Amino acid sequence: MTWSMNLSRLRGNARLYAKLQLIQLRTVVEYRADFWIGILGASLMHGAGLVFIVALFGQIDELGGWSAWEVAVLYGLTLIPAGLRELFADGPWLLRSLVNSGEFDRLLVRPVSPAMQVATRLASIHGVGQLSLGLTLLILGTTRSGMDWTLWKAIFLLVSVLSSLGLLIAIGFLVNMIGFWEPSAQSAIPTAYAMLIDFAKFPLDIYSNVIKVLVTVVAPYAFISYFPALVLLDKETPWRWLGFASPLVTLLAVLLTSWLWRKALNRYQGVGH
Amino acid sequence: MTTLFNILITFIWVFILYALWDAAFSETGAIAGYSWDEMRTYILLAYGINALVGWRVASQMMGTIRTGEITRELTRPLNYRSTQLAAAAGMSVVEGLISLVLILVLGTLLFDVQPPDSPVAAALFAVALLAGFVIKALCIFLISLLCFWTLNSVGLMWAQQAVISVLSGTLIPLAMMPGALRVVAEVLPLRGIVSTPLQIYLGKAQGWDLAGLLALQFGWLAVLWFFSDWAWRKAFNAVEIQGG
Amino acid sequence: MDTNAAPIIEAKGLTKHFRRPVKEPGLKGAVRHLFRPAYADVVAVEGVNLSILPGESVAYVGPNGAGKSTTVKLLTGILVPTSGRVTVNGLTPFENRVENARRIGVVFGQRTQLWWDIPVGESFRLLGDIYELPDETYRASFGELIDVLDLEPLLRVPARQLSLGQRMRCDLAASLLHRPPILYLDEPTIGLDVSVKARFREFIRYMHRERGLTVMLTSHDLGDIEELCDRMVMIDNGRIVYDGALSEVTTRFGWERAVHLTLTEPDESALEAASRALGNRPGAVATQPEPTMVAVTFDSRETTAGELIRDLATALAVTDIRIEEPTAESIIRRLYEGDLVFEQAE
Repeated sequence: MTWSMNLSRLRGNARLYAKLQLIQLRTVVEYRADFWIGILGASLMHGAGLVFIVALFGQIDELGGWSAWEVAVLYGLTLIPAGLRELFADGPWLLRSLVNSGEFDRLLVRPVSPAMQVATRLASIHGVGQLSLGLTLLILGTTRSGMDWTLWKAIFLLVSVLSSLGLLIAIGFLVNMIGFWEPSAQSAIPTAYAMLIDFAKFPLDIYSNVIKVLVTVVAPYAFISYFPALVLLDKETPWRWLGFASPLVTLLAVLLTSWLWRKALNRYQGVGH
Repeated sequence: MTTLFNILITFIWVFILYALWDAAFSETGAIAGYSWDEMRTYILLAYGINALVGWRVASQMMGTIRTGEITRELTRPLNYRSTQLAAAAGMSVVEGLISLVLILVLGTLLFDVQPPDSPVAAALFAVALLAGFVIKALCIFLISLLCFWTLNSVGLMWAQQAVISVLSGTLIPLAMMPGALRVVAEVLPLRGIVSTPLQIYLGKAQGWDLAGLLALQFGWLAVLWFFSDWAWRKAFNAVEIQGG
Repeated sequence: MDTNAAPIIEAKGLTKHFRRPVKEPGLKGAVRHLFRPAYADVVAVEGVNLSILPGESVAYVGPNGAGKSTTVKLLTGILVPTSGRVTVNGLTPFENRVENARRIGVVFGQRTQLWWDIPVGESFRLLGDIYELPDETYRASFGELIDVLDLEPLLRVPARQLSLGQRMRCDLAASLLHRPPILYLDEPTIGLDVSVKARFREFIRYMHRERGLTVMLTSHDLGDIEELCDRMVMIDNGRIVYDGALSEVTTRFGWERAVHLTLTEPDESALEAASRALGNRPGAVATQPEPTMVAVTFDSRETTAGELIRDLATALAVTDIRIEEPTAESIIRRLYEGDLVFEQAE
């Protein structure tokens, strides 16, 4: 295949992706009551953590060297990619049920990559709640904490949000792919792994070493909030450079995921075990 | 196994809160009248208690209405509200035992949990805990009635969890809440689920304060008991008339 | 049908074995399996040869677990065969899964391919995008299907609100929107009521006759098979046991027949007398379903009806005799029920 053919194929796929997701989102919006309850539920859930921060900082001034507004930046950096992922790539969470029910067969008799069909299978409007809350916190946090906005910081922010989104999508696939190997797998294992993201809402400095390693290496959520925030807020720590490593971590996660995805597909089709 | 995992998931926040308060208390000796020893105990017990009526109970109650299984339930010659409560109690035995074990293990190994303030406090704690359990089950029952009107039970579930975890005092003790929120939380019945039992456990409420807390809790319990039955009838009739 | 044409679906020695983990129950078994996994080889399809010409409509039948679904999955590229060759539209499905997918339509009876929550019309539009149909083709194809299947009133309804019959109609349209030359139907009429079934069959017949659609149908419904298919392929235990015209299945497997004798009057001892009279006839079994009726089933390869009647007429007082010929339907039904064993077809 030539380069230009590849490119047009990619464009076609991107267009299809957008169409699939937008139609789903539009439909959800049409069910008024369900839509608002979804938004309300999601906002309350993430707002609860916020209430906690407000209460906490009503009692103390600093948390492990981080001010309230700086923690808001961490919170925002976590919620924004999480909200985007919910909006545009919530499908992997249906993967296990697709495989279990045999509905995955259907994806294999369509002329589009199964990974894309899985990713677009679900679009959760709840993501709007997370996204808007996250954006608010990020904007308030960066301005109130006296951060210097420069062009390159804006670019850095954009790149790290995108790379965080990539990481979260990869993780979504990764944890749910367990369904290919263990069809009856505990639904709680993927959920638990995904929920470790809550650790990323607060500065890593306050955690024990076990948790630090957990959210840096095992479930690298620190790369979506803490490390990029070190760069954005000009924190002087020896770990600051890791903020630039986020795209690399995403790349590794994506490579690992696509390798495993291919193995999973082969297994499903009964090639090699 | 699934139950164990689900409870463990909620305990992620126990570790987060522990780390947060650990950092906070490193700067000061007491916050809003709580010492670090008391705070540790509060965090762990609060999550353990809140796990009692968990995700499973709520999703079961909502599922009954959403899937139309409700029509079968109604053919039984029993009060629907009471059967739902009984089912919740049954499920909570398992969840309760698991979270009790988790609390004991974590409490002795990591958290160094404080014992109850006094034997009397321990006894009254048990009473308040039981009342709190019924209050929470009734609240979830009331919320599940909304499933007559919406398909989005996940949204309801989240909303319900979030509101309860804040207003019950699970996430943060009432005493530390900012002004207006604190007033709201102190008046509403949800404090009876976690905050009231724990205030008694830690000896934060004595004498008339304690009596007042219990009176408020049982008052709300009575109100919710009758209101839930009435609301159930209303909701069911309304939907039936609509032909939904 | 052009009998000189190259086959559109061809399988040679198609074989699929599954490796199933063998686990002992309980935690101990699970742990042991982790360290020393044991597997059992399960044969799903063994040496299947199949050649279907363009425009044929073929019923693929067999009892549950015989290998029907596995064969369909091998032909559609969902599964990769253990050995053997398969060619569909000149492509090997599992190697060119995506290309193959453009040229086939698949209806899985119990599962819909419509998006559950979005209106049917939008589902069609999405499918048009997925199959990259040019606008003109999409409009023409969509228009025809809407018309023939009478889908206009359903376009604004989300799939989850459709009745089973409505959903089947929509699913048919969804599977044929990209105008595939081949349509696979896997148990399409499960749960449908009689009138919906009739409508479904009428539509498939129309597409088959007017559009030259090649149809491969797996079904438990004998009506589907009789009304839609010229040819029947039977599979049992992973092997093809019959491949030919539906009407000819009786000459091949219809050796089991029955003679019904009506007696002049109710007779308690008739069964005993009949059994005595049949004593030396191998494979002949008498029953007495009613006091005035004796039925004898026999194997036409070993005995003739004439010989039996001669024996029985002397032993019993008979007013009427009826010889029951097996129908294709009864043979297939008994195949499904598993009480008829087939020899392998040469």
